[in-house]
Amino acid sequence: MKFRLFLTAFFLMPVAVFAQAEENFEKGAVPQISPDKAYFLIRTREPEDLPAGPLLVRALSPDELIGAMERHKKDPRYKEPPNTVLMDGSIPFAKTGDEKTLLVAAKPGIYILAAEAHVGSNFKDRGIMAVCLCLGTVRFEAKPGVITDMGTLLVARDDKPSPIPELASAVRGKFVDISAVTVVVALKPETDSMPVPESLANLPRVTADYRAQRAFPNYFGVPINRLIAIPGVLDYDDDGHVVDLKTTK
Amino acid sequence: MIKCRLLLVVAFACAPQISAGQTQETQTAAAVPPDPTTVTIPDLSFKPSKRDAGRYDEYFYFHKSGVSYEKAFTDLQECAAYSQVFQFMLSPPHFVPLGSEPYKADQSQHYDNAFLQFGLIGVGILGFAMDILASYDERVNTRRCMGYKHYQRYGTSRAIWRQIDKGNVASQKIARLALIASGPVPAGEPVEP
Repeated sequence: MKFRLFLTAFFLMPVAVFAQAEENFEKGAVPQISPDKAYFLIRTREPEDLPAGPLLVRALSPDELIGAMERHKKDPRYKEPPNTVLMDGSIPFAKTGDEKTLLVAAKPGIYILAAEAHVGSNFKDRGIMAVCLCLGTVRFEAKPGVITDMGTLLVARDDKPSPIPELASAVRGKFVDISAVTVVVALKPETDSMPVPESLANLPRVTADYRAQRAFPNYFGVPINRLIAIPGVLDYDDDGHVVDLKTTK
Repeated sequence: MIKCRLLLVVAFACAPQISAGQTQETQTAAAVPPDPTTVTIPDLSFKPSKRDAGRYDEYFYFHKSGVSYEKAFTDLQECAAYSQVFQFMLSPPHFVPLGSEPYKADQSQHYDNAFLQFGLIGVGILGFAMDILASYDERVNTRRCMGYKHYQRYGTSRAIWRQIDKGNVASQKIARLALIASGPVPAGEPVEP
């Protein structure tokens, strides 16, 4: 009888049959640049206990989107091909001091920095969603055959004071309500002063050309926030709406 | 007994799938603000007790000087939309229907696990906990969203909040909050956003 119960439980377990969206390169494993893949490089500074897990979402073509919606209508559990990229801060390409470098390969396209996840051995599977940057963020194009340098991502817990100057005034610094621990996120576009691992220095690399991305629905059903304003790229008006500084010059 | 249990396991495992198939989208179209002359709000004055002051994270309303009723309604509705789907302990998804409306949350895995481990009691406790967590999530999201729109937040008592939040029609609740938000400046000091 126990065996029958086990069988029942076994068949009711959700089956995780996913094609992997992204490939994280760990511990300095230099990729062989493929002409049909896009490569994402980002440096992260984050709380010690919560490795950063920026989640990128690729914009779908009209055909992809309509097809996905139709299939979802017929079968809500239908598994679409992946369009997200989780940059896993728990398995960095390199680490120097309190700064990590993450390197990931995925499908080329237009991506938005959509969310931040808690990743690492404390969490099962791919981690747990921490915050949706639904109220404003950036998008950029990741071209095939090159590394797109996304600059430096700064992440702080919202419930504790942050030692990162750019985030110090943005965090609440104390626990609010009993919701899950959420985070505050800032992004500094790439500059010449940002270090690049020596092993990647000779590979083709371009700076991410960021554009402001207006608010989008909370697809994740998690706490919401917005990316901190980026001079020359992203700002917010008094109604909290996104201002695209590149097109309103 | 075992057969009965197996049947229940299967029934509970199937239930969320059936409901997910019936309702696939959760975002609703923007509602038209009700005529403000038909909206009644409670008397907001009260003498805060120590207990009231400790519950301002839970019971509050907003105010913004110079905002119209219609604009406040739109702002509140926009902010509420971010909490229409609640996902418990969601793992980063592989697919996001960027450009469409969010899909209905699928919590069946959690309910399956709760039932397999603790039976019907587990399912009951989980359902109760999910409702509480979804409420907290909504409050935190609304505060964040309305704070970015430069609304001031004012704490209130549980009794007054219940009058503001009464009924099952979302647009009526939002209308009450919008009327307060666009009305006279409330007495007392605003609390943190």
